[in-house]
Amino acid sequence: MTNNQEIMKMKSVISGVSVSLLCLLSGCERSGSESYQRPPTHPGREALAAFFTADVPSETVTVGELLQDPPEGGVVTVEGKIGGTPTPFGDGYAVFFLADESLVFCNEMGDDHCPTPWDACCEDPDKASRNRILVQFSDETGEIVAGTVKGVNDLREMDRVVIRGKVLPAAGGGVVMDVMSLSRISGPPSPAL
Amino acid sequence: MLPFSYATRNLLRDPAKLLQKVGGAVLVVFLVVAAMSFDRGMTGVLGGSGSSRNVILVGSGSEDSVERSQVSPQVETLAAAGIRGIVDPLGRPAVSGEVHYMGQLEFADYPAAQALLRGVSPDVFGVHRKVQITEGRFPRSGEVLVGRLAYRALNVPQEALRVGEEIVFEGQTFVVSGILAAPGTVMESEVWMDRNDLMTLTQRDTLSCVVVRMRDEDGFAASDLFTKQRFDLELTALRESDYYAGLSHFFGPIRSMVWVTAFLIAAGAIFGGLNLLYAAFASRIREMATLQAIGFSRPGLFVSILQESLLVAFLGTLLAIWLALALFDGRTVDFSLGIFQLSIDGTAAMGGIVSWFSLGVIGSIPPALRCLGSSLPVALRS
Repeated sequence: MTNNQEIMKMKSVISGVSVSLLCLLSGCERSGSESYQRPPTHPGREALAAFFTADVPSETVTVGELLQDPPEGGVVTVEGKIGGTPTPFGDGYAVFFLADESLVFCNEMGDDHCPTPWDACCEDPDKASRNRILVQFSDETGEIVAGTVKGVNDLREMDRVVIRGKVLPAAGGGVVMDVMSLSRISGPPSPAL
Repeated sequence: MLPFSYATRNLLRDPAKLLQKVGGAVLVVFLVVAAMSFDRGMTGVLGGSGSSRNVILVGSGSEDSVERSQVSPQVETLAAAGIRGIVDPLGRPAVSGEVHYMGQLEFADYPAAQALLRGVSPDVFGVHRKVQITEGRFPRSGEVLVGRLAYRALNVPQEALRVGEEIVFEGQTFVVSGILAAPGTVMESEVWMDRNDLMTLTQRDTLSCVVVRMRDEDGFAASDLFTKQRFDLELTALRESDYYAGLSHFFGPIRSMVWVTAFLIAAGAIFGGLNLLYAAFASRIREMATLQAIGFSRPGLFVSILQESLLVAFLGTLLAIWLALALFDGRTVDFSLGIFQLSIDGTAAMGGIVSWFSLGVIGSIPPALRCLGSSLPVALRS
């Protein structure tokens, strides 16, 4: 083997060791790194999708109007937007908060930096709590359906929806609606100019 | 291939240079081990403080800090009745209403110090399963239960917090009734007292939080449903593990600064070491060329250089780990949430070993390039 060949072979050995070391270090997974996990499918998601309808009722009341005089046990059709709290959707149970249109979400104020614009954090907290109702999806036995309704038929925070359902009394005051049907009107509103 | 004894003999050729090279390796490995120990200690105590089966009910808007939260005392009873899936050992629901307060404690013979005070009832042990009373008993009114490491958080001798000793809070004297242990959690640096005492002295009529223990990790959904159904109570449900994970994230910049500092110092040591090696092997170019001339291959010579470098780094690693064990293994570090211990565990030691191997390999490259990079005739004439 000539000198040049030996030099090249030696350099290639050094290069190989260096590259191997770099690969070893770069291949180490940082602790706490997250890898994509497919969200689990719940049997309840199919059941929840059955509540959705494309027909939008024409005669509706707002959340604020409903809260002024809720007909306990009666069936109403109410219109509102999903939000009014940082986590409007239930985690594991099919419930969400429906807020009155009068509550101003952060993105409606032109503030696009808020990570949770649907929490209406710029509103008076008392006003926010007085202008929202809880919406729940129950099965035939009256039990709340397990599994979040978020993402079912692409339902998201700040969506404007119309809900037809039965008004139930809420412990401690307020209103809970047991959903009979849900119509999604639109996605998040445009920010104010 | 050259015999291994060739590499070992070369190490002792120049003891002064050997000491410099080993010293550089000691510095680098020591810093890596220290930074790993600090990082793991802090994340470990915050990760260990929260259970994935515990759910904290806090006032809405206070998710980042339990101390700022206000929860009605009736929530304790309502949660016990309204949340399905709560553990109930011996028929008693594992629900603990607590008051968290950062207060100043005074001592007769030592300076006053801040401590995290937790107002609890005996139900607290049904929720916080890692807590044990190792000495004494649960505090009655006028008494406190101190964590095993609370004396370090308060910067007083351990004798100042023995059972029977007195401390003063808000002008009232409290007697230490017992010592609690909760290994790997921030509770070991806390001071616990009767909940009614703390509420009276801090003039509050609300709790900071209600902690419930669920039968399994999936039980969080039931707690979340309760807070939504009882939205009049203005509550938010948090997994206890998520709460402390959020706090750990808050201290992320501090942990990053530790690593950046260690890296900068280590980089200086590495570059200095590489420079030293590069210069040291300048005198051995002709030696290497002679070995090639008599038949040893360049790869074989490179392996010998690699052996020398790994040996130097190995000596430095052994010394660094010994120093780390002697200087800070078991030592405590105080931060705003409590105390954690530095520990040279298997992971930190493995970090040292990886550093050794990396140093050894990197350290072999400059001398190899210097000695074996040029052609044989040129090297023989150098």
